[in-house]
Amino acid sequence: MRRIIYQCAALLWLALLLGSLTACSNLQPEKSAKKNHPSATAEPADNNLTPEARAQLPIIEALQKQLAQDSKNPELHYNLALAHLAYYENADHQLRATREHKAAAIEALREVLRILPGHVPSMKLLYTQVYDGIIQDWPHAFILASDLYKDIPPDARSSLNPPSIAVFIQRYRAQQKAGKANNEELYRALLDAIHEQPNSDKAYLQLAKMYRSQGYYPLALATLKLAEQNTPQSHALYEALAATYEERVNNSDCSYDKTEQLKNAIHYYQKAVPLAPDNTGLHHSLSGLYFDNNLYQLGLYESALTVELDPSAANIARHAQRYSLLGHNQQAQVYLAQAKTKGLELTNVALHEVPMNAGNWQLAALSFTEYLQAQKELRVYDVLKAGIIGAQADLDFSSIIARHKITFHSEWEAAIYAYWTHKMTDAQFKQAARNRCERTEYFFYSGYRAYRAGDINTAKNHFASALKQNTYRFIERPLARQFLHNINTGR
Amino acid sequence: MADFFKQKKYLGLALMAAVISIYLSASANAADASATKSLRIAPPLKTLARSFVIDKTAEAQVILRKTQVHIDEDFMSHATSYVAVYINSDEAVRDYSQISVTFNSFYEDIQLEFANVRTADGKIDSIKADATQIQSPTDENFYHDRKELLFSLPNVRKGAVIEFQYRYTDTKKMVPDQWFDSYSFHWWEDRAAGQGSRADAIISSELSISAPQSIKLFSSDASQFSIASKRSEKKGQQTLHWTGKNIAKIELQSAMPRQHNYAPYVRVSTTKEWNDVARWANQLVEPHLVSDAKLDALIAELKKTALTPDAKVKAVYAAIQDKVRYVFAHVGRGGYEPHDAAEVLKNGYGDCKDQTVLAVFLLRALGIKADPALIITRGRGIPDMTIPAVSFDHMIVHIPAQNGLQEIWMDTTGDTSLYPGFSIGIEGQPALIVNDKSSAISILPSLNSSEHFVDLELVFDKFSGRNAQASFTLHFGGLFEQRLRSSWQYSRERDKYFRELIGQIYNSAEVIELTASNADNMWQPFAIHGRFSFENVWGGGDAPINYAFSITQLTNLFADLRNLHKAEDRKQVYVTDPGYNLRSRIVFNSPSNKHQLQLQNRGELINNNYYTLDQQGSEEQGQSNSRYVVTQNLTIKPATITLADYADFYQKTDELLESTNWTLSYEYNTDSVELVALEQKGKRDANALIALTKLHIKNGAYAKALSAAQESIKLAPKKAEAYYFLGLAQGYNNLLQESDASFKKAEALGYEL
Repeated sequence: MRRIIYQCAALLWLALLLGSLTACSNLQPEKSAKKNHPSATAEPADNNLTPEARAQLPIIEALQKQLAQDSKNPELHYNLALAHLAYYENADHQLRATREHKAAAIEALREVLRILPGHVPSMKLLYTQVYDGIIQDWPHAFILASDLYKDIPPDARSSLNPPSIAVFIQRYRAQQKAGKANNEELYRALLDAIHEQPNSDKAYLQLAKMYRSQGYYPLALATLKLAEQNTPQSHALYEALAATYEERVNNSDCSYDKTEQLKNAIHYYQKAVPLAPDNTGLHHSLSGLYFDNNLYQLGLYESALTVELDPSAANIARHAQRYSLLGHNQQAQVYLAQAKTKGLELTNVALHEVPMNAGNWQLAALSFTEYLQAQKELRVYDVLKAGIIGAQADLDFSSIIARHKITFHSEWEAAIYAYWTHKMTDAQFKQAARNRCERTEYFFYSGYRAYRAGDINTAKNHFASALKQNTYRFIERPLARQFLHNINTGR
Repeated sequence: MADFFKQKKYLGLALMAAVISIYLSASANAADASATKSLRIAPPLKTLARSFVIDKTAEAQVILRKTQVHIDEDFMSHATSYVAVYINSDEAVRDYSQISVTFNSFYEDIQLEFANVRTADGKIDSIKADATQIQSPTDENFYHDRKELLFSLPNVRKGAVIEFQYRYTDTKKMVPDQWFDSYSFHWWEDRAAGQGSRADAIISSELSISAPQSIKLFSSDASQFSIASKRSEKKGQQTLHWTGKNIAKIELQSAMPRQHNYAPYVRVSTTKEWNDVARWANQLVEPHLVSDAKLDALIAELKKTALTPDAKVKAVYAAIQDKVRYVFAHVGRGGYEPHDAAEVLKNGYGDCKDQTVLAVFLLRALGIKADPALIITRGRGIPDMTIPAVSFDHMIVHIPAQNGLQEIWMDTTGDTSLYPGFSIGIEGQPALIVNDKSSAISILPSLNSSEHFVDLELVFDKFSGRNAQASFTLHFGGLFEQRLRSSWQYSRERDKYFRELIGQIYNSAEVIELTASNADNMWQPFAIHGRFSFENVWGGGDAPINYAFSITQLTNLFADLRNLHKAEDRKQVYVTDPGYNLRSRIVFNSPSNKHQLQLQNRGELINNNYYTLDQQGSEEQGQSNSRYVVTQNLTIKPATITLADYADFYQKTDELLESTNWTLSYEYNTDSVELVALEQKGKRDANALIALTKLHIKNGAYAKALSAAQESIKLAPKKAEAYYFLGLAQGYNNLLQESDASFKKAEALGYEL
């Protein structure tokens, strides 16, 4: 049967495709059955035609004349397709004449494939047109694109999105327009896309992103690990894996209770970095994770790389904060000063946290005032900061606080606020703290209250206990160290 | 396609003549025609030869075609016809060297008055005494009154002008006190060796009909053909006169419309009432609706078994099919008068009108209203029926709608045809129901396109070594059923013929089995079954097997789309009449459960003004192996395609014929092998089920993956990895909450995400 099979490698569908196009174009049905051959000379006068589109008209005309003499020349047909597409790309897509150029391009490509079956550039170009057709919801476009996609050799296919990605985009847009979300439909399209192109990470990444956004972290991770098995290495995949691990930990009760997960995140960021060494986001994330694991030298190194790659005010300020967390106040001040010269925004938290950690309360209060006034809403931690900075600088932020809505993101935050506003006893507050993160805050804020009340022993014990939680990136950590130092030095 | 069913049986009614010819009177003694002293109705040949401009591109030109008809007070006509033709090609020499004029010897007499050839150098050569004869056409198995005057002209060469004049006279009246005829303004000459007819360009064509003023004459409108007409009266005589000048030649081509509007002609009659014809036909039929003891016995027998109207009609159809063979053998009866119903039954044979008379008699005896109906069959096209005439060539039974019955047109003349014998030959054709009240032409109903069909079911079902086999069944409807059933019944080398015919579906295959069903069944459509054998078509074992199928494998056999005229050669409107459907269901089985489908090309979807091609394909799970099933439905739409649209039609046809094949292969696939192994092992092994889950996920078979994962949990409820893959499979089946729970369970059991 083989001799029967390979008797024809011609492509299908132009009649259908043109029908689809014209259906999109609101043409009259009787015209839709006929092919459109827009010619340069027949172009309607259009003062709004862009110079780029207008420039294609003589090219099209010349190619059409050449084709009249040499109708079987595939190069002429291919160039004609390019010229029609160039016109289409640079003209108003709402005009029927413009869309006819696209139809003519498709017809020209099909002619190339009649003359040269299997001509890969033509197949790819044709596929991209039909792929766009799926996004524009042409009838039958998906079938046509699927068939063509299968005809394209695998090597050439790898640079193209599979047809179901276009379905995903089309359905996503349609859902957005209708205001009706249907994730199942989108999941299905992405799973189909994975099946169509299992060695590309695009669909895996998008699917995992959606699962992640819905909080289905294990499913997202499992999906990305499938991609890891089936697709070539890519920094996007490793970054997604790392970020998903990181986000899963961050959204758990306390990330410091799940250091293994954090190490997974570090592992994948480390795999991503060689593939995208200049990606500052990777270095920044790694820096934070190293700090979380008390690998502060590595954390500082990655932070410095971030600044080296992108010496922006925000990055330098973050670098300053890293030093500040470790108690290297002088270097923190130096970097903060650099950040200011780079135009650091007055509301950046580094401007009050770096002096706060160094005990420079007046400066901290000044910057914190700027910060508070810029906030639309305040988190409970802003309120606590206001209390501490205000007390240390002998200022009252209560009037500013009163003008803001305070938001709570967990029961724990509500518990802290209740304790801070004397609506919860120390014992109740202690009972509410269930993990290292919460215990860090319990010990610090109860220690601070004892510190302010002159109960030095309690304060000392609680600040020491807060430090023992090893929650390395908590802002309470340098503050506890500072107040403990004050107690020990009798300040 | 249009000429498939030009059945000779329809000649059961003797005709006035071929639809495009003139009906002439005859003389058995035409041998001495050249010596007859005749009144020449044309100018001298020498004058005629100088009177026209030679068209060097034309093969021949008819210089003058002239006919004078006189109708006397007894409605008998006497006509003289003259033709002069300039010969300008070897083809024309061949075709015009022998002239034939058909006539009905029962009603007419013909005499050749003279025939001459003026050679290129101006010499006149007359017909030889032994060069004229009257003969019967060579229709096998038919005995009728149609004859032809045949004469050969001497020294016809390129550059010559031939002329001849003949006279024909009515000898009997077909319809008393009526007269009718039809005239073509072209001269239609048979091409040599039976290659159809030719109608060359006309310089001048004239027709005049004279009759007493007391006789009313009605004629069709020829003005659409630029034929001038006038009427004059003189001394109690009226003369109708038509003249056409410089009329283009007619090039007959395939798939022309049935309507006779491609050539100028005129019909003339002394009546404008079809009732006159219907009453005449009825008075020919009614006296023959008579019975005898044998016929009475048959009626009694039918009454016992056929109790409902439907059963009665079917019983009559079956009885005639069983007891009366179709035979035409009626010389000397004028073609329209049947035999007695009882005699037809007694003889055991009869032509269409005989069978119809018997059927009508039986039906009426059983209480079913029925009348004969005169038909112009498809082979004769559809003439202008505004002017009544007797130009029918077939008779069938009309059963009007009545209690318990829809209207039925029943034709008993086919041997064991599918009830009620309604065929493409009469579909959509004009009919005159024969009774005293009938006053108008009816048009027989037409089947829908979907009722003319071929259905192919083809299943690749056997694989042995390097060979494969496929069983097939062909079901037919409408014209295809009629054609194939008839071919099966009458083919001389039936088996060889059908093996070669069906073999065209797959040229590379041999038809190794062939049977038919219902070939003699009047109630069930004819079907063909068989088996293709393909040798050395794959490597066997774990080699891939490649399949292909295209709709053109059906169109090549059942449609005549590859022989269309190119656009520049098409001179006539093209009709697809009737529309029809070619459908297929092809089952490509996998040779083993270890071969996996690779779909390479899908068949093209087409929808334009002329064709709709719907094609679908899907993989199905068979009992042991998977299979890919392709369904195709090609609708060839009924269409009348003008010359302006013909190029578009030609291109669309070309696109259809060049449309993409279905191509697919079943390839030995390690995944498939692994899948099979895992499925077998998984019945008792959780690890195998986990591996199976992974493989299904890899293949995008998420439902199967979920099922395998759930099975793995049953076998190993404490296995962390099983929960991990269950979570994945649940997630991909959109069971997101369940997925999350399974992942948590996996982690709780120690799986590190």
